[in-house]
Amino acid sequence: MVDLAQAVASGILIGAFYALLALGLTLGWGFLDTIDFGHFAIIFGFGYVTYELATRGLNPLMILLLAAPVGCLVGAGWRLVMRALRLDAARSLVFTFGVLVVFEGLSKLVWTADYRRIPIAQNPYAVGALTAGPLAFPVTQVVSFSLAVLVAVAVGLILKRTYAGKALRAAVLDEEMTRACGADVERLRLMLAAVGGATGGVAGVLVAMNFALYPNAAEQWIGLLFAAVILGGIGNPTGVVLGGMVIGVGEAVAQVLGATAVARLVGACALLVGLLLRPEGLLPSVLGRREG
Amino acid sequence: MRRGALWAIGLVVAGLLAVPTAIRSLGLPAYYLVFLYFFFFWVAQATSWNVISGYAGYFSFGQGAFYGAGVYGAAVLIDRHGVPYGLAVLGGALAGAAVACGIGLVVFRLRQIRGPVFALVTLAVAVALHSLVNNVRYLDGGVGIPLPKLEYPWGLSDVGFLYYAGFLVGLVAVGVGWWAYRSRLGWGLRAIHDDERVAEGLGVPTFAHKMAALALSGAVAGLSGGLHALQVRYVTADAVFALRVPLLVIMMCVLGGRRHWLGPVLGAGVVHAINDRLSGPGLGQVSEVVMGLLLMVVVATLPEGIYDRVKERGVVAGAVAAAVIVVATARGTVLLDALAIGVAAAVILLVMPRRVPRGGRWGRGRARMEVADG
Amino acid sequence: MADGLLHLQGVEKHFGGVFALRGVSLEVREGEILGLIGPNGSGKSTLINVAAGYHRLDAGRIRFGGADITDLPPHQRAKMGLARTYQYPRPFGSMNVRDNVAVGALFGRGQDVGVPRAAQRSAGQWLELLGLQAAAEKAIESLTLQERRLLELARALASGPRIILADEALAGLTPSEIERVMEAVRRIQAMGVALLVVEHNVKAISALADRVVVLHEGKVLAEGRPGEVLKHERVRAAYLGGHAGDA
Repeated sequence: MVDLAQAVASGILIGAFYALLALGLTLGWGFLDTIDFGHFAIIFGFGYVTYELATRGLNPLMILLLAAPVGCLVGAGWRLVMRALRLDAARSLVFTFGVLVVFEGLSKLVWTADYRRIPIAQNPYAVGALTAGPLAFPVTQVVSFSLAVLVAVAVGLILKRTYAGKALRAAVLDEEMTRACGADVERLRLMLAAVGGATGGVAGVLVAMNFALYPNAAEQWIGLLFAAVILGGIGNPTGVVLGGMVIGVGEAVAQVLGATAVARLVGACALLVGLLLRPEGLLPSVLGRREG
Repeated sequence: MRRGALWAIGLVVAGLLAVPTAIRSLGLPAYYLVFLYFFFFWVAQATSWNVISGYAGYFSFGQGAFYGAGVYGAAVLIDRHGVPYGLAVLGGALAGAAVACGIGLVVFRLRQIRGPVFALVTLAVAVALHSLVNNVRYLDGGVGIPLPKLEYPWGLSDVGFLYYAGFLVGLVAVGVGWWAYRSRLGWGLRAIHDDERVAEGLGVPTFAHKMAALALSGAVAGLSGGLHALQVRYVTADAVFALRVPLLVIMMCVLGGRRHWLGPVLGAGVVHAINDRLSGPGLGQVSEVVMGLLLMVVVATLPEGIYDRVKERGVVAGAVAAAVIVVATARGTVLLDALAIGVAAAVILLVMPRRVPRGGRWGRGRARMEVADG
Repeated sequence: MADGLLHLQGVEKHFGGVFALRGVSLEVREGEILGLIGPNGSGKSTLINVAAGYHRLDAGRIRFGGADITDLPPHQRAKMGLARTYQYPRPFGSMNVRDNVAVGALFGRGQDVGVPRAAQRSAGQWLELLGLQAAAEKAIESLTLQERRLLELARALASGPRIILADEALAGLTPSEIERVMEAVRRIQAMGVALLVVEHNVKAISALADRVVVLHEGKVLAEGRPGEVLKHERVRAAYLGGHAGDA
């Protein structure tokens, strides 16, 4: 029973971690009309940089703090590039797929195909854990959990309540009209892209603190993260947290029940089952009204 | 078909059939045959992708799933059940078609999934298949399947047999692509590509057409994958399901053009000619970078591919390529290097803009129309 | 009542909690032009979508040519001779005008089923009938709105229909263009094809239709000859927003 409880708890934590990685994806797809494999390049780019800095003795938590503002800049810069290219969702998917492949090739040239992991001496957080009764929670995952929930709820509220958020949502349905109403849609999108970039940067640091890095690592995550995005409803920041948690708990429970092989399939299965039961996602997607 | 086109096709077929003999009698290295085998392989894979993703517009990242089903279908049949290799390759085609039909039934019947979500679902299926193969002992279990050295008929060597068999598979694939383009099915798929709801309302049986396209795509990819198992000889899940196959296939079709059956053939030729020169030892990463960059440039500047441009300035481009190849070989460059350079020169000529490029065709305008209409 | 061509019986359709159609019964007879009018949001477009098979019904039955088609998908209805056009023309963007029409000929009820070449040839005849032959090889982007509306009709006609459901075929056109499209509609009727014409332009519909049905808030408000129906108290109330009648 404790095993199962621990599995559910770890599942929720890792699920929130997935959500942090996927937040930028869901925002980009929902509000910027970009299905962005480039986001994986941002995440793992930050991951490799974290590895370099941490092995040279910089405290990972310090890097985590730096990652947010730098991520903002990267996200905004990337948005400007994509904006200049004027690609629609389908073409952005192919274009950024090329970006990811270039990134993987470059990281093989720079860091080789070997696994890279920050030594424990420089990264004590990888083994630290908080305990509550019989349950244990790794520090890094507690951090990512809090961040994911915090950012998701904040962005969710901003999108729902503020004028800027309403303008962004209106622009999904009718961009010209929103502009005509006086909203500077492009600037708002730039800001949203900056937020997405920040989450990507922070997620990258946490990936480096938690896992070994290798050039094709992104491929392990793509299915999982897009599953969380679609399950959660495209463009829905709280939804992606929920979607991530469904997948995380599913994986952890499958693992405890001894179905290791199944555990790796949970993401794909969750995506397929989710699409069959609710193609519009667990929570509503911003694209729902547009494509319905 | 016009008589000239028939002659051209007959000439190409006869020429390619004569290549092994010519190479043997001229004492040229057998690598040319391997090079051409891979060309046929990519023609088949790209054509397979194009039937569903190009003609019908259902963009897929799941080529690895069909191809992988073919490779593993054949490998399992040969290694676990001792099936003769010829039958095993056909079994690969069946496996590819079966996976395709499974996806189609779920995605097309139960839910009308299209657009980017379809692309991601196909990706998820490929990932799921990858880990299934890695975790199930009967299929692989993570150790790979070595295939025995096979005896080929008529005293053909490995390379020779694979050349002819690959040529046959490529020909079958192009035949399927050609038929699926010209036939009523092709008209239906094009209508689906442009506006599926309107097509349905005009009497196009959209579900049946999409299933047919997907099944054909899966069968061709599986057939070619099954044969490829014989070429690889040691089958591993990580190699089979790597993103390389979908990446290159998408590259080829996007570059070549997705509206016409010749597009994937052109694209396969160009990409393979260049990529082959970049995949020597230690060059794999460089090839990835170059191919990724090429994909980005083509998507951003020439979303409809070079097929239309070939119709316009194909003769000039061909002449330029030929001239470059002749000059380069005369100056002592290895033939395949010269070929890659010549092809690259021709592509640059074709890609050069003619006027201000148009915006994308898949814009939001249509989505908004649908909302207004429903 | 079984002599009607298209027959809707007690059709209901709601989206979420919003009722678009609440118990609509109407009939289109062989070869007639039935005008369907009503204020914005009265359910006209929903009715076309329901009849063509794009929306599943919540209640009611639809019969066409004597057969129950309530559960048939759109393409099977098209094969039986039920064609439609769109309020916002939706041509196939990657094909020229002739090929757009050829798709209709290739997949519809007509005799060209299965042979692309023959379909392309007969497409030319349909274009000629509607006066579009000059535009046959044109790309879609270069068409005017009037040409697009005629193309919608030509494509529907090529599928060999017994009835065409025409959704606002005249909207956005100038008076002279309206005249030309109306002429095309009459020519189609003369071939024995029935039409259900949804229209805002009451004057045009009075001139065109044999009968008129007025839809209001998802219900049939009135039905009859154009002149009589438009004089109807409740119809005026529906359009003018008064409460004279008891709807």
